[in-house]
Amino acid sequence: MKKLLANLIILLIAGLGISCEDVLVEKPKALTIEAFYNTPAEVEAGLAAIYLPLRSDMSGWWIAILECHAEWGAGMTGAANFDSYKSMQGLNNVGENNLIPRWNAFYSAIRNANLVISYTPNGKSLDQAQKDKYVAEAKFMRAFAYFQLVRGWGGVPIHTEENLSETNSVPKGTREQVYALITSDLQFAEMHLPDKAPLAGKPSKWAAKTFLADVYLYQKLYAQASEKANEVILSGKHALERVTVADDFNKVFGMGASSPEEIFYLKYNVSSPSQLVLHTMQINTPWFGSNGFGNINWHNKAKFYTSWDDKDLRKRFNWYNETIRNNPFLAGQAEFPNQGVTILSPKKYNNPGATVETFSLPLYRYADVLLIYAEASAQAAGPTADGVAKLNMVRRRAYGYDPLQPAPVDFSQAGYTIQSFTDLVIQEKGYEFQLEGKRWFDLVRSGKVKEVMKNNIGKEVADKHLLWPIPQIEFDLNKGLDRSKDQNPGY
Amino acid sequence: MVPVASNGVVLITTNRGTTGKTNVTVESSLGFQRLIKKTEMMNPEEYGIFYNRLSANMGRPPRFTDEEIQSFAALGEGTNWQDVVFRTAPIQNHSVNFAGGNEKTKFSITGSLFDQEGIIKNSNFKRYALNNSFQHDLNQAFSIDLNLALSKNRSARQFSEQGRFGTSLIGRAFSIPPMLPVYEEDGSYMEPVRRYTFVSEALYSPLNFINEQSNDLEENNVLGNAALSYTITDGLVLRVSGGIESINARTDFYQTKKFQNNPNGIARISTSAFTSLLNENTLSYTKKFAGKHDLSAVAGFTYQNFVTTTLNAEGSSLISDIPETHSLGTAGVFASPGTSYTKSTLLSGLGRINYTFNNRYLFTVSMRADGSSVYSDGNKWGYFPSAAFSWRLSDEAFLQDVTFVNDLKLRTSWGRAGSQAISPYSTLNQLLPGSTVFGSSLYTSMAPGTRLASDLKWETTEQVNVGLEFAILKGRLQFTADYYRKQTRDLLNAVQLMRSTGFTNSLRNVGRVANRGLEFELNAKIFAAGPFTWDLNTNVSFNRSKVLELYGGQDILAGQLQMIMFTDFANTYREGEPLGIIYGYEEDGYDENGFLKYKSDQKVKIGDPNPNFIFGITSSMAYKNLSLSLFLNGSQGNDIVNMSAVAFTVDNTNGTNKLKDVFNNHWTPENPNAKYPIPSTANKYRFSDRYVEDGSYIRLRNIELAYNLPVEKWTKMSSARFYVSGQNLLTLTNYSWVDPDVNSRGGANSLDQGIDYATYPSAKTLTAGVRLGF
Repeated sequence: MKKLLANLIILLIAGLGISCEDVLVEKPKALTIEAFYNTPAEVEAGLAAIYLPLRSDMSGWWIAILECHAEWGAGMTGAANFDSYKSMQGLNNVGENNLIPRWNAFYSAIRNANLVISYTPNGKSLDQAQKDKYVAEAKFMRAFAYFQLVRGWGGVPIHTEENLSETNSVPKGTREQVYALITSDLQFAEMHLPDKAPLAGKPSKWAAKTFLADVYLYQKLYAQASEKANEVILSGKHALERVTVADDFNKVFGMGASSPEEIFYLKYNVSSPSQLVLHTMQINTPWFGSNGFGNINWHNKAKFYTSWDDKDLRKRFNWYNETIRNNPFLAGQAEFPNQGVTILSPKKYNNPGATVETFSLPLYRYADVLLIYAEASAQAAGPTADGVAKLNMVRRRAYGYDPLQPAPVDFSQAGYTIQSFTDLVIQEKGYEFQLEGKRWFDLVRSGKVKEVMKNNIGKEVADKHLLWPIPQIEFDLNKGLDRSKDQNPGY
Repeated sequence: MVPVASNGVVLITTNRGTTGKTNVTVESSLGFQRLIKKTEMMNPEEYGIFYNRLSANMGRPPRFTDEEIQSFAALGEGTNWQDVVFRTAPIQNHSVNFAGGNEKTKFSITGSLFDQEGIIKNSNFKRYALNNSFQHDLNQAFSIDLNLALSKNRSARQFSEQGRFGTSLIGRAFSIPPMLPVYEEDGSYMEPVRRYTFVSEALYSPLNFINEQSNDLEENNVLGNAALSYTITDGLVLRVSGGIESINARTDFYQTKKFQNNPNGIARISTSAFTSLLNENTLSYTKKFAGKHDLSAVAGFTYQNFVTTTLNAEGSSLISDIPETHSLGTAGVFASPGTSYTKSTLLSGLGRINYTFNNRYLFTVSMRADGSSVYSDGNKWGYFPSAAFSWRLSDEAFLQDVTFVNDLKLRTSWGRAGSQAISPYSTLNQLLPGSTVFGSSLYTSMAPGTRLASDLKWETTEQVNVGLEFAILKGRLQFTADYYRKQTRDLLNAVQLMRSTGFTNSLRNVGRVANRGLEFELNAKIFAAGPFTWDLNTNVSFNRSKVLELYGGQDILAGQLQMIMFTDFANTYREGEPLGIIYGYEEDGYDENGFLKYKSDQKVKIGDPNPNFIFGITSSMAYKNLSLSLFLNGSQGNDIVNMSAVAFTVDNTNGTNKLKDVFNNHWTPENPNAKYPIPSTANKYRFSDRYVEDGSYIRLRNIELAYNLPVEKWTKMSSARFYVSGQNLLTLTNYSWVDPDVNSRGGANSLDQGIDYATYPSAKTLTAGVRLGF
């Protein structure tokens, strides 16, 4: 017995001694960054992760925040979360804080893109064409995230694959540096993305060209913008969806819609729904099976609404008048006379029978291309018949006409100055892209913002309102920033 | 039992059998608990007037008409939403123990049942347990020892998570406007936003959580340990033991189709299986020689692993509420199932020698080497020596004449200990799965989580301790004093990262901190000889901490506060300062319009979460068969960051109800020095001294009155004890919110200290019970 035990102990000690170091090595049954991004399936999963942080945020809060900046959202004070966006007087703490998760989502997408851009070139089971294609998609998405950041906050810290390991200090890039990164990313993307997107919701090279045209427009590089937009037009890859009655717009915006107009949308399904209804619709809405937050509403005497031609099908499609309900909240608003008016509420994303939203979020559609071209070509070389024709295509469709045939609603072919034509396009974009999160940035870009807001809602826009404050937490934790120099004016 | 954790010895005590007659003990108690303190909120009329004042201050027309205000007044106090959320709840505990044995075999069996209803409605906790211990001597050389504990825990949980403006379940107990009835006329839950749209849509009825959500946890626990001891020769014992700990848990979450604004239903099931295997092998030697020398030594090695696997599944758009989580196939939409696996391993070698001379000088030296898989390559092993010496002075000849000193002992020790309180794979850049949609289908995504991995090594604490024990007056007065200095290097903690990295935080060895302290304990037998006896024990501890070094030199910010009006950090770790100092802005009264002013744009120290001292007093009195005992404890000089009250004091953004104090004491031109600023949403709020309160308190933790019926005189029973007791009956504090004994995100190892944020509150309990021995 003694001997047996002694032997056992010796065995145990010996066995343990040999395996000691091995026993302490972690062998996770999980994937790590260093061993990933080697096969198409792996890189595609890495790419999918770039979309993830953007999806719920952009279809919800992001759209709501931007639309509260537009004349139809800012007309009336409302819920405290959105009050300061509507104020036109700069953001208060609440408004500032509600933008932090948006900031975080964009940077989370940028991090995931940077990982793909950094690791894919060394992927073991990928050929050069695959690597280029994947890096192109990652760069497209990185540019997309930076484009939102630079328009909202101006210059921001630039994180790329070059400074992936830097976690303490990244200085603020200027607006120009951010745009330079976006432009070069998109130039790579348009070169290497496929002619046709492999799946709806992924970018094609035409999506990259459309996006690049928009980015040039924001930089006032009108010739380039016009040229890029024209490449997309001449390709014939996309067309406007025909509309004869207002509800036909559901072919573009409805649940499950798929149209030739679609260039780049974020996609949703029942397992992973969007939040467009939640963030744009009314609390008691007849247009969907669950409630919205009621962030955006006004009354039917609102100037943007009364000045809008009733025959424009978009007016009827995007808004409805609610006469049934007396809303005590609205009645308590100075801006709401509560006499002789009805509540005006959005319904662009509607489906009365549904309780789960699967609306896609339209980011770029063919109407963008036409209107970018119309404006950019005019800005670059003066208004042309071709530019007016592109503007008219969008307008005809909105009135239920064939976009390619002359129609009674056509704008005349000539007689514009650059300014008057640009104003016309900006106005058309306002109607066309309502509730798509484009109006505010367009107004700021074009310098029309103060005039439009004054005209429509009687508010003076403070200069500080034009750029949001960089989150305080970024100053607290990023040693590369100096609040006194790097915070946006007025904050 | 060899200590499992390096950071302090883990002792597992179980009832042990006795020799002779089998003893049976039965104990039963029943009690009631209720919320420790109710908070006085505005009544309907005050609410209406307050929000009209708010509108007037904002230059807007009144929210409510005079008629409405009058109708509110008719409602009196209106609905008390605290009563809708909280309740008086029973608690009961029953156990029976059998213990006995003979010369060779001893056993003990305990069965127990614990059943607690929560003070939040529809929450409860039940525990069924069976604890067995068994010892048997096979012969002179071999003995076996078996401990086996089995238990099943069941709990119905209610979310006690935070909400930025009173949107947690607990927050709703205070936030919902008081003039609203609990139910609409058609019997549906009141949805405040449908009556008053200035009330946030997120403030829907708390009954949605209480009645339309269930979150049930069921756990089966097995803790077993078997040991074989072999006495090789006199004094030399080999002990080999094997143990297993197993926890199988399953959580069922169900949200019915009646839940506010989500008519689809959600069913989620998650399971986890945790298994830890432990093997300990020790050789111990004890020897007494020449009458005066006691020597004992232990050497050994241990192996322990910890494996956790999880599995979860979720479905929504369910056909019916009837099956709840038990027919997941009835879901119309499925979320991606999730599985995971983690394993960590701990290897230890240890040795210890104790030597005592003449029962007067005691020496101990020990050494242990711990290898843990959770650290980076090259840093897996930590070495932790210790030494101790104590000297019983009272046995020395020179003190033999000092008769009033009964015992005098000086102790000193030095040692290092390690902490491995981090999760497996913390040093690996793991990718986590998710899914996104292309076309109309889900596609897998892989990306890092919010925590960035980094290289990690053992956190090591070096401690020096000097202690003195003495007893006088025939042992009736015992006094103990201890002084310690601790220095922790490579402190492990999560640090915040700039959000533009795409990460939120990273676990790091952040720096060096020091703690030093004094602890005193006085034990007095005030009346020692019957029939009246009174023992009084008091203890007090003083601790001072200091951040010695932060690797990288930069402050570490912790305790992120995400309020609707500001986001900031409660705790700052700065070189040269105590741990977790509260930095924020200092208020400077109000401007001429009643808006907040601040002394400076620079943050200053506005609080310290560390107490000056903590203390406890235990008193035990007995007169014949009657006994009265009580236990008081408290904390002095610590500050609390009161985030719980923000939504109910100064946050006017979402129509939440406010404290009555706010109604009576806010800024007006006539009351320019009021406690609260002008009701408005235009105040520029910052994390200021307003939210930092003195957290000192004294609490009557327990009081018990018991009577021992002298049953042994008349029956075969050996004892019968009847008692009534109360827990947390009395608290003296200036802290304004519910419970000063709070640390919402705490835990001793957390960098977040002294924060109160909608925590599940303590209860007052009254209990009656009986304990019978046969």
